[in-house]
Amino acid sequence: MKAALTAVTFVLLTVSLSAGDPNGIPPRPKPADHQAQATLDGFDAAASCLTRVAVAREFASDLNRGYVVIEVAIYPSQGKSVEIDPARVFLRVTEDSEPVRAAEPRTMARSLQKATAGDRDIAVYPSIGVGYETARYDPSTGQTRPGGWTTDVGVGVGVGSGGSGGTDEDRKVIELELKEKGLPKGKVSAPVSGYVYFPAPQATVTSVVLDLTVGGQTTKLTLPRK
Amino acid sequence: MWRNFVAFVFLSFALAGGALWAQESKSDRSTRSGNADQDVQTIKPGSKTRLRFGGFSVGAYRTSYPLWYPYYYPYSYSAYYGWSPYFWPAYPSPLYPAAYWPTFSASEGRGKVKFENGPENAELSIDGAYAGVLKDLKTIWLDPGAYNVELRVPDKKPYLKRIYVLTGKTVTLTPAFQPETEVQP
Repeated sequence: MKAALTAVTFVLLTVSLSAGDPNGIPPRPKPADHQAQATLDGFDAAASCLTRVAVAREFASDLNRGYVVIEVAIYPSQGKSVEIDPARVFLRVTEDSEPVRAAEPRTMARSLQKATAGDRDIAVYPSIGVGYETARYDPSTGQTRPGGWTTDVGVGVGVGSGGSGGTDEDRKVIELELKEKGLPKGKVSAPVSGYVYFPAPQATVTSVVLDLTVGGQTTKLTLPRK
Repeated sequence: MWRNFVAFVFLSFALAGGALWAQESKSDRSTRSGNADQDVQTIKPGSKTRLRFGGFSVGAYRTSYPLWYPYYYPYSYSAYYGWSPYFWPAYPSPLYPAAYWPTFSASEGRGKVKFENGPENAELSIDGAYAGVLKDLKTIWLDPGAYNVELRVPDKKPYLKRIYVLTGKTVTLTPAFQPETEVQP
């Protein structure tokens, strides 16, 4: 009984500690399914740059506001394992340009929440009124007024802050999603995949170079940006 | 009995739910300092303006009052306006909020989860708790958070999805079910 309770406690503790850790996403069946791939000693590396449409579909928050999302996948060879560290993934605009580090989910969540909270929300409320009066005397003017049909048409306009995805609770959810879908860290012996987030280059940049160091080996993958 | 005022009819309805038409002035202005030595990039996400349809109200009324009128106008509005929906029997009228409130009461502080093309008999569970059948739950509102959504139909593999709900945002799910693989003896 005591052993069972201990086991349950351990499991619960493990689950609670692992919540929010990068789980990654299901890897694509093979490296060739990605935009670019490279075969290294003991594993295959592959990557794709998500389109704006895919980013909008995949994430609850609007990552297109200043970020580019790269899907990175590692396919270890049969019986081999490889050490992955997302901190060793960099982005370059060209092969010779300065590498840019990946953005931190916490920083991103704060930035995205702030941006969303700054949105303006304009709501329009049209209204129509139809009435019939049998009035005869208008005390405000002292005149006798004939009755008849009256109509009212109006539009109310309300302007306020957005409120969509801009609360503190939303920020936590954004951060959680970014973390959970991020590229896992650690030693793996089965295919893994996850997202790495970078500050978006200028819109004129049509391709980016992913600088990937995995298991002590470095490779560069050129990804078209659509 | 009904000399001062006869009757009024006030109809109001609200067309609920989200943005019927929304226009976004997208101005993604992102700048960064592309220097590897700098850990922090300066990102200035662009702001957006959302235009949405808040609701629509229609009213109809009929009033009647006599030739005489009390001197204390306008302080006795009831004698002047009759059965106004806004001041009946005392402000605020129970009919007045009806014109506006239903539009937003359901969505206040929540996010929308919409199921598209799912079989109506699919049983929905959220975080392991049974919620109902899809026929009655085409659209649900949830507090911001991450949820594990599970849909089950007979003889099919369950549809599992982890969703992230944000305030005022919509998550659209189009569940697809794979046939249950038969276990070979």
